[in-house]
Amino acid sequence: MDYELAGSVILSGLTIVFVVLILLTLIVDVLGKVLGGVGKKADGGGKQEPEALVQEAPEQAAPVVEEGIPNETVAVISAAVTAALGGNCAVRGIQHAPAHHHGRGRRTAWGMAGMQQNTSPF
Amino acid sequence: MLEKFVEAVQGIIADSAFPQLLTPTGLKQLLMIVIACVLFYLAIKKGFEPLLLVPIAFGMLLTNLPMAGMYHPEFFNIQPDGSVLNAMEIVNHGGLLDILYLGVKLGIYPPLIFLGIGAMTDFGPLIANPKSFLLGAAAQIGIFLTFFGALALGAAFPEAIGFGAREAGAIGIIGGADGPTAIYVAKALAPDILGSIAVAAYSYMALVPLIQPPIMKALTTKKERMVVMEQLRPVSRVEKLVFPVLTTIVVSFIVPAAAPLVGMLMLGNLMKECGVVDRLVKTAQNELMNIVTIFLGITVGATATAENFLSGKTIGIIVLGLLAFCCGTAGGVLFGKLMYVITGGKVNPLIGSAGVSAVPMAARVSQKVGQAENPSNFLLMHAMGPNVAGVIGSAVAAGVLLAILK
Repeated sequence: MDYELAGSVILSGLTIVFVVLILLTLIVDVLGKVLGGVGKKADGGGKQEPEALVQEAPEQAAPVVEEGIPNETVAVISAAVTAALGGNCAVRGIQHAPAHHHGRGRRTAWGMAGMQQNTSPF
Repeated sequence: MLEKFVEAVQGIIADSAFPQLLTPTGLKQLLMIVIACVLFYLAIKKGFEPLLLVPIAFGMLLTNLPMAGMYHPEFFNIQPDGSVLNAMEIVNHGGLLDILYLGVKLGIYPPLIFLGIGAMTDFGPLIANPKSFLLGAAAQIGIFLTFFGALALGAAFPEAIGFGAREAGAIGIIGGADGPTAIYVAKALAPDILGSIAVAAYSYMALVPLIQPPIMKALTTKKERMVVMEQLRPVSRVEKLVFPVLTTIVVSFIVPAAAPLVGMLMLGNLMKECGVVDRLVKTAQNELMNIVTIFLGITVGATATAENFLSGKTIGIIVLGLLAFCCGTAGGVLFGKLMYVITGGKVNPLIGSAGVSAVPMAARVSQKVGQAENPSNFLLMHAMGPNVAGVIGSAVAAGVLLAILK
């Protein structure tokens, strides 16, 4: 067995891996100190919003939910609406909607949304 | 007319693959088909990394079908003029898998897989706690210790195993716990054992939840396992945009051989973080990743011919693969203990084991073992830092091995 080769590969390999990753550690650390202030400013502004939402939340009445819709579905729909509209909204009620047929293609709302998304770049 | 019919049927049977099964080569191929079926069982029923193991096992099946002619290993030997493959033979007489294997041989598929991985990875926990890079580096000790082990095993059994330096390097990279990196190194250093290395690497990656916990518990005390780490700081968007560019430049300048892997990883990540190329990100995460995974898996499996796979070398690779994972886990945990001491108890050593770059399974294992000691301890995001650092660390280690041994 070539111990010299084994030793040189192990020593140089580990050294280079550690040197590269230590260098990256230092660079990212400096990067965080220099650029991390941007994140702190954004958090400072952001911290006010959750408090405002918390203050508003108790005033909202619970949504009127059609019988048969599980609580989990209500939570998912409310979360999706809040995420899409940025929180400045309230879900007043959730009920099943009758199926609409859009023109001769009889596309559902999901189908129409998908077609719109796929054709929008053109 | 009846004579002609019997002659025709006899001719078809004689030209079929069945008579091949009566030859020694045919029997070996039959055994390989059985092994492929075992891998199907492990992948489908037991859930062993099915995304890769199913195509790998099917490639193994296809290549060992007698007379199918889908893959010709001799087309990819080093040619007298120094070229890495016989291009004219491949184009004129190559089978389907010969053409698809070009993506492996020319080092195209693994970087494309890394593009997809980068597009799915959040480097936020790593940027928030850059010391995680050190844990990612420490876990790569498994690669180099296994390199030594492979050389030692080859010296101990020169006839049956006889691993040289290049083969030892290809086997050692299993310790990086990164499939594309293992394939990228093995195709360059030891293409004959690429199939065995890929099967071993992906099988052990699936066994990370079984392999790691006993080592983690053996090397840490209860007090150390119960450490609750401080919440990570928020990371700004600018940091997440600068990180991939800087990392590519730094790594590629120091280890140019790692540039394809690290460069594509960081390209995928930059595409994800910039937010202005959503369509490309979706393609990289889904369609591209899936297509390349299929091609990569099936062609890597195709290299597992009976001649290459049924040898003492495969047994050696299986043993050394386990050693690689164990040493990588131990290296990360021990460095985590060192950081625990240096920081005065602020770092939980369990996150060190996540430096083995099996993302995100190794991080989940750290979370699970930590939570077993302290149910209110959430180590997952802290462990994701070393976990993604390990991906970069294993790519750097791969570059070093290629630079020294190629």
